Amino acid sequence: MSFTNFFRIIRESFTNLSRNRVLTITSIFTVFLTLVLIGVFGLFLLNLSYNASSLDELLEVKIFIVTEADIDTINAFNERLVLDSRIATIEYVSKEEAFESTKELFDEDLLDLGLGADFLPASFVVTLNNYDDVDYFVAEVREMPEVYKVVYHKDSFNFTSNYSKWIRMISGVLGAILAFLAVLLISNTIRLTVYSRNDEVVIMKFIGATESRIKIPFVIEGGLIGCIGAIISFIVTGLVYSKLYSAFASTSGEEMFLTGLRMAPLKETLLMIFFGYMVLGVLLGVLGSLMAIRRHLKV
Amino acid sequence: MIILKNVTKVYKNGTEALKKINMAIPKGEFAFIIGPSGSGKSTLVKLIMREEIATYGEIYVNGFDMQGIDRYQIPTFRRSIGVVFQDFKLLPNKTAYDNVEFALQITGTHKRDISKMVPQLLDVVGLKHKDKAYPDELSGGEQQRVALARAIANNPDLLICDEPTGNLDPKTSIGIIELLGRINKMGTTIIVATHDSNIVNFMQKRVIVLKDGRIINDKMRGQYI
Repeated sequence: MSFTNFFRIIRESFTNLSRNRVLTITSIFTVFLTLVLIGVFGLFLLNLSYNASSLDELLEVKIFIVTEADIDTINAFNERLVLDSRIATIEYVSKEEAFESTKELFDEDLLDLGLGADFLPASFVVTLNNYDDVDYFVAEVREMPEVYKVVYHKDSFNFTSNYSKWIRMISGVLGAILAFLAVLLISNTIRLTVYSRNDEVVIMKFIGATESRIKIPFVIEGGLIGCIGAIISFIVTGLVYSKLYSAFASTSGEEMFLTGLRMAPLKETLLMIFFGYMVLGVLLGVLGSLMAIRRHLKV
Repeated sequence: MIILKNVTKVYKNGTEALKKINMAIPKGEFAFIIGPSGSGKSTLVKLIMREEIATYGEIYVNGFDMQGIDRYQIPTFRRSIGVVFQDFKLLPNKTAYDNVEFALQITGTHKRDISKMVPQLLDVVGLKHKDKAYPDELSGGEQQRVALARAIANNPDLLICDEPTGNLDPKTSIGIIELLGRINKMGTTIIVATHDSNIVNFMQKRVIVLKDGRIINDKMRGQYI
């Protein structure tokens, strides 16, 4: 197919779509709804995993030792950790090291406030081998007299493992239903254009047009519906995400530090949404037209 | 050119439209296929165009085996035939010029050649001056002439006309059939399925008569019975 032919087909596809305006708009709207729904859940999950830290972090448990513990107690505690088969790695953070890293977080000199390394507890950062062991391990360690506090990513772990499963499932089901609807509606739109252009198809057939030459314009029409739906979805989702992103970026550093929340980087995320929407939109459109062609176009 | 051997066509609903048809139409011939409604005329035309497939028998058209032809070969075969319909089948949103151009575009003719060929084709059918007219601005006869120009655009060996004068008055019909006669003289084989006695008797060409799916008469210079 030459370039001139290709552009002619594209031009004709636009003309044909504008002939069945109501159906075309309905199909575009369904693609839009489908993509936005999938996109919003996708973005939510993306930001969740962006914040929920890496899997290693979820396996990480910080054990703070009481400040009055002496070196022998700490060594004995270390021995017990070493013998524990559930543990993969152990890292010891002494009072001094904790003091140094804390100093970096604050502008003011802690020494000026009359605070020294003694006020901070020494700690062990251990990584477990298995998620299932995290809760039991933490419960056991908490009972030990030399342990002051145990910190681990229980909340985020539970959230990602429990809620995200539901979110994924609900968005998956809703997305699938909407995608199915979109394919059906597009198929219906293309079916009507197939009917309205029956004479054209018959003429093409008897003039000796190849099967693909007859079918491709309809597939392109479906693809265009998907493409337009994807562009609209991208504009809407992109605008909302950018607004949220700038609103988040303007919150104070302190707030960010306390909540620990970050948003997935704007540029990369927008690019991802754009390509994701385009691929999915065009796929829905093409699927819809193929369905209509298969059923209603006899070549 | 066209050979049918023991051709039988039974539709899915059990209707036996054609029964053991044997016939041969040599290259360059002008033949009418006539018969009352339900006699099998349309089915015969459809088999020759490869719109339907025979249930039994063999059909050869322009050297193609209609029973064994590959799917991808069908467009090549169809480029060797031209088809004219009773209802013209012109594209309403295209001018006479565009309608003829469409046939050439579809088969991938170069743009430069198209701009030379379309005026020539419209000239052959006597409508060069109406190239910018849309179908609804043309009379029935003129529309059928445009359809004819389109059918011969790709220089087919065989022109199949299914009731080409069915929607036309007698005078216009004669004009169309005369035009078909001229095209035939240029070497194109022509088959006309019709029940228009006027044109059959006017042309004095071969007449194949069908009744209840069988050939009951085949005369080289026939009349409408």
